[in-house]
Amino acid sequence: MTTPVEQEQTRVEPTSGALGVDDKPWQTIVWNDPVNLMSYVTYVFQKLFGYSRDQATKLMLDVHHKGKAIVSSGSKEKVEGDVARLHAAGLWATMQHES
Amino acid sequence: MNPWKRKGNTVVGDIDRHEAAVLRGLVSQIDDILRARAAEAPNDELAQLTGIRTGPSSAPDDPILSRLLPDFHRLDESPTDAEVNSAGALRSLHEPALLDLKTGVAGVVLRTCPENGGRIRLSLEHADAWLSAINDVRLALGTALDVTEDMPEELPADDPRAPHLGVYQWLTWMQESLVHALAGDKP
Repeated sequence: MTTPVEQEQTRVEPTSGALGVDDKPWQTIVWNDPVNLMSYVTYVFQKLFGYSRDQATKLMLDVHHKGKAIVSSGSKEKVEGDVARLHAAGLWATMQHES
Repeated sequence: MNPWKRKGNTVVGDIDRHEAAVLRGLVSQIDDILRARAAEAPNDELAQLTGIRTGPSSAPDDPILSRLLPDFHRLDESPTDAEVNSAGALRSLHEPALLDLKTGVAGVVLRTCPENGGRIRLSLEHADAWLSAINDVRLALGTALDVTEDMPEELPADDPRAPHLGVYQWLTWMQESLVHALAGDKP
């Protein structure tokens, strides 16, 4: 992801615990790419999934620093729909079955 | 163009004639390649009978289209046969709707961006459409220019990509400004 040079980095307090996505069979993965803006990715996560600003920012930073993040999970149909909505927003998303 | 401003449920911006022409031209180009892809979709009797449209099952060869219409599984890292088959089926199922959404947001920009420049007033829904449409143009340009995360602000003058990078950076700035206006951030 990228950010304009003059923009100040948002400081985020580390949040404890996962987002309750550990026991679901399918996962939605968002991958890092060099075009999508950090601010836009955070906005999309909030808008599509209803995450708080802090949760969305943490997921965005995971994508940015670790190369990917699991942003939702659930049934195949749910995750399929989530990936489709992320594609509409221009994010690089895929789905995988939890191994 | 000045930063976008949010006033209640409206987002307002001013665009000059040249900027409007550049933006409209790029959005139209994206719209064209998406419509060309949509026209390739198989149109069999079953689809006509049921109204359920199916798209192609394989990714476009063109890297720009391929970035705009990603696969549902990672197929670049030794995928299993099951993943390849599933990605094909999911693309076939979802691509027509994705193409509709992307040409839809392009259409919103073309209808709401004045041809000769001037004031732009957007509902929040239309502002979201602008965000998606600008993002699609940036994805296309970023792919064409082979943009990387550590790309310098300016390329050497003899780099053929140098003149286009300025447009990409302008769109980056405009999108960033629109996100902040929509999120209600202070400028």
